[in-house]
Amino acid sequence: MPLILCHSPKGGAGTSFVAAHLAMALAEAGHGATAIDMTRQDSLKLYFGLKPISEIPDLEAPENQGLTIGGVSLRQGWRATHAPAFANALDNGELPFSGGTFVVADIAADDTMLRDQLLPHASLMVVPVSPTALGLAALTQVVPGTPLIDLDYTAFIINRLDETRRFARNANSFLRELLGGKLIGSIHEDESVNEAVAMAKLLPAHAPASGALADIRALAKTIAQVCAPPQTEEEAA
Amino acid sequence: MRKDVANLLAKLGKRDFHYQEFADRFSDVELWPLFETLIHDPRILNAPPAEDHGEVAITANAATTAATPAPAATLAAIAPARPESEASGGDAAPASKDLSSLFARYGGQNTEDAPGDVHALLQKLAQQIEQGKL
Repeated sequence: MPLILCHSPKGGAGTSFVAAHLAMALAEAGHGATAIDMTRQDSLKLYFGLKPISEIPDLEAPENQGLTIGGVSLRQGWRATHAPAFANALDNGELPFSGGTFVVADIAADDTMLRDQLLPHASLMVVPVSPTALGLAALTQVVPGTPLIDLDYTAFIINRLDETRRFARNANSFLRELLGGKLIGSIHEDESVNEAVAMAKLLPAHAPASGALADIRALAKTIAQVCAPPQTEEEAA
Repeated sequence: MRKDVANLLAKLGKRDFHYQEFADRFSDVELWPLFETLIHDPRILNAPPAEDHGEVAITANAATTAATPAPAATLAAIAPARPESEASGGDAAPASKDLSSLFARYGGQNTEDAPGDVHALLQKLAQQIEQGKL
């Protein structure tokens, strides 16, 4: 059950968008996927065609009270992951998620405590980076104490890339050079993402030809392959 | 042709556009002072990059995906090189931090004048600062 953390050191990098559509793309590719909103902002659901007033099931709600949209089981985890019992369970080496699915966690930029608690249990941390001066400057804050280039199990994604913008284009090239294979791709700026939320629709339904959608689907394929459990000898045969 | 462009043209019902992808060469990158600041920041790079970080392909934490630790899948292993024309809008990054292949990707055949690594970029930055261009 790979746990994938989506966390950016800078707010506004599109972490919730990446988490939501990563989970949806994994589900589309035939994987079981659960998306957990661990933010107080509670905006992950908006990418699932829900409205701000809609409530999604708590992480601890029974399975039969779940909500599945776009093939993704959707949960609100802010309360549960900030309860003392959650930290205790992690301290005891338990990860209180179950099942054989990908679990994609959306973590707020300033919630580094939760990020640090979950990191040892995660298969991968996905870091969306906005190709702006502030977005690049925030790269110094990804995981304090470890140089960015030395981080294990960390994949970077440039989000909202507009190649008509000079700095964004240069930042894209610079980050490719700096991060090498740790930069697994980019998602292009696409107004249809915003429009889909405003229409309370899923992006694939609102704009099937969306460039951002094609981008995140390609990235999800890469992430699924990186995170898939290694084949046993029997499976390989 | 990139997938997003193909999708757009299909949506518009247009087939008579002349399509050209412009090479994105690292040597053409403008040398913003922020880039130099980041390269010098120990929170970004703590050691000379090219030699010490030859292979930085992404891996998953294998201990969390399998009961018994096993070699993690690497991007190099799972992402075979694709022709540029097949690259999707996702524009996946190259499998490893092999700088020569990275430049080949950016600049097509014209890679000989591309800087060799981050150090070369730094050197260019320093030169421009000395010359008062930055």
